[in-house]
Amino acid sequence: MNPPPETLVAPGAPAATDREAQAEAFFRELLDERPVMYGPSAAIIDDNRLSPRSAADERALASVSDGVEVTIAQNRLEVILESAKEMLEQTGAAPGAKWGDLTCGLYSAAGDLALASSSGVVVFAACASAPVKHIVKDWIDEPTVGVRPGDVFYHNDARYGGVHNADQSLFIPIFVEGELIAWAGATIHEGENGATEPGGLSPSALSVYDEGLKISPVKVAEDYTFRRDLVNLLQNNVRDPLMQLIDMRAKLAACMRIEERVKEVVADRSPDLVLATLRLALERTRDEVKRRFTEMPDGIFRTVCFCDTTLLEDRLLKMVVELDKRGDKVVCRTHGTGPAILDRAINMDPTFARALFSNNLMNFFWPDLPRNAGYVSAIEFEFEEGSVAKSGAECPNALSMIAACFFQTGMHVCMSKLAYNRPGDIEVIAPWYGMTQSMFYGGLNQWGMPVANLMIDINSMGGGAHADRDGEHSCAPFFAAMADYGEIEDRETELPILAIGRNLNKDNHGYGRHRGGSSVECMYMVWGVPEFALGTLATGSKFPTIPGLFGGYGGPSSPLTIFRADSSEAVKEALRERAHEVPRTADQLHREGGLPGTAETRRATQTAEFAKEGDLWILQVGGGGGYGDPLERDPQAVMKDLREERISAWVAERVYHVVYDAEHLRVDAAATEAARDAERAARKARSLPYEEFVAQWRRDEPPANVPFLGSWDWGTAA
Amino acid sequence: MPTYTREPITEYLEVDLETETWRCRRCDHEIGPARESYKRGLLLHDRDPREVYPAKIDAEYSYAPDPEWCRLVECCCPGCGTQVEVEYLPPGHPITHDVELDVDALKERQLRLRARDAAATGEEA
Repeated sequence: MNPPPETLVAPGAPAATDREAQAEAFFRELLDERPVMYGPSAAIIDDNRLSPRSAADERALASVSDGVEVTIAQNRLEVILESAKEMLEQTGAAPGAKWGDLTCGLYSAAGDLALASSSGVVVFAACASAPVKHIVKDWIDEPTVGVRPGDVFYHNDARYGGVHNADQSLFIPIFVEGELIAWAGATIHEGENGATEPGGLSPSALSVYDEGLKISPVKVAEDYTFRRDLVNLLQNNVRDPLMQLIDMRAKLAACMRIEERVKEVVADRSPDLVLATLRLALERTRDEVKRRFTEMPDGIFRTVCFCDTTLLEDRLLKMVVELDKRGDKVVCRTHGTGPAILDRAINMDPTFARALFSNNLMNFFWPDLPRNAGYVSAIEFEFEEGSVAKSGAECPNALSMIAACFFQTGMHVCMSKLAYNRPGDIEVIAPWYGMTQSMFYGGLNQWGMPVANLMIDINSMGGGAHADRDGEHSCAPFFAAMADYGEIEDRETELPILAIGRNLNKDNHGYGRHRGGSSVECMYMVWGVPEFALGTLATGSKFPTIPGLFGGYGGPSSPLTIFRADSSEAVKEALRERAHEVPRTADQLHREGGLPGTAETRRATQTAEFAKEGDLWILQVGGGGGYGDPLERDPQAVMKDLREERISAWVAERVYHVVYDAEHLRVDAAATEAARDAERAARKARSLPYEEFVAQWRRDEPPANVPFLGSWDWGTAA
Repeated sequence: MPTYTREPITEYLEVDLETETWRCRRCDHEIGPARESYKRGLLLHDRDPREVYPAKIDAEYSYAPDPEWCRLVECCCPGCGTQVEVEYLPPGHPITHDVELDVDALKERQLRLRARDAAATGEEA
């Protein structure tokens, strides 16, 4: 560093070496203590370990020796959080609040999420620590901000940690006798955030500056009272200002309730018991996850998945997940994954990518441990810099969950193969449907009110097949086991939408010895307004979103069907006069028509466009993956699938090879066994030994007609 | 010298730690060395996805996977024809080495767990 020029030194000034030291100190203070801005901290974002024990933690742990007392305290705190989450669900205004896309949590003083509500979005529980750690790092000692009792902080910028900026979080510090002992937090998927398109998830965003509100952790209230000018600023930057206000209040009420009840525990027992309980919950979860990994076979487990869109075009984006497990050490790598895309909002923040790992453990493998940052701290991660799994702060990420879904599916398959050897401890399940198949909307509703958000069809994902039974239909999203996808009448009341169908349609799951659960096809007609903006968020139009497991198949492709009415009057007449001809599925619409207009299929992600009254959008949420060889499926179960219209005769005959009486659906057992034996023989006859197969199959670069992003390296092949 | 038993690794595959080979759990066919990918001992087939997922309409987006983008690489046991694995890959893409076991560690683990179980039951390992 150069000192100030000699010519500027006044007569009688200190000697050169003193001046150098002063200049050094001046610049160091300028750079370190008075930064131009407080950006996201790489030290926080890149570190998934628990914060070290503080002196207060050590004091508390030394003073608390009764394990029963700690267990009781932990249960009390968890009940407090569950109760707060229920309260938030009832008082929040966003569709996300109503459908269970929310979480309440209790953080250590250092910012590690130590306990969270047991339902809601558990993935929040894994990536929610980073924003609080930023508050602790940046604002406690900053004289213009500070952290005091009654302060309220707000956040939605995923560059500081989180899923995406559709989620908004509120945090309050909990002080006891002047000591910060914990933080209470509440997160809701609010949706609308003022992005270039309505609803908060904008596929047309080309930079972070197109994605709407980006609230770095900021103090929005003192003495539990919002600064109305700040709230007003936020309201003026979203399309649904009423929802913004209501939900900030709802989250504050939930956090204040948590604080009040935590202080009751403190008053009943002691602050040290709360401190020790939070610390032990974190450390014991981390240690138990590591211990359970020790029980599994050592080795490397890999999966590759393919995302068939980069939002505005069809491109094949590769996602690689590799688990390298040795003893209690598990390293997760994504080498070979496709690159970050600077002008598409599909990139992931690493805190989110890591959180998906713990989401997978929390929801599918070890749901019995406290939901906290201990899960993710047990794993090491090596994400490739510049890949879609670890993009930079200038990469838009509002639709991070689209890439993340593939990371989650890859992780799930790796974990299933790693865990199979310990069936007594773990129930192995084929991949859950893993995509954000949903519709966003915006405009004036039939009551003249501005509305902008996301449909909740995303929550109706089909479950993966189990090792011993079929997957559940239209069950829950992979990230929130207790979420619901709501009453359609509520939506018709609030939105200018007529749902003319919502069906579990045929052949919409993965086949196998046990089949995946199906999911719904939703048919939404614009109704009661001249036009309304719609868009969609999903992949899987050309390449299925999930595979099956152990010889089972994944689900089919799921494009979007759009029907354009000749006129709203003609559609209304058809609904009034020829209701029996109105199609109930996309398949029926394409085959038979039944409405005056034209239908087409499109890529599953569509930017917002105005649909006219009478236009119909049909999206298909996918089903879960199948488990095991389909030829081992009980023929009677295939007949049940046929009776319930979960599969077509085509699938019964060509995939399951069941011979039956089509009129009465009676199985011919002997003929079925013969047909299946014949198919096994046919498999062997048409297949090739590995080397011969590779000689025919191998290409040294991707097909010219497939825009491909990611590695293509035969050096790492089987 | 300790003797080893078999360890189930997937629904249809196990590893015989004594001979260090992959075996089919349906027909006991010896598939190949346990230190290599089991896929090298299976039979593979490049399947058009439309043979599993029927198209609903004749269009670019047909509700069936696009066969120019996606193929099903089906892997079956040479002994009994059981479908062990299905990979979804773009045409010509490298075959994934999905399970790369540390066989030595697996052996050590089996002895360790055996000793632990024996200690718990009071029997000899």
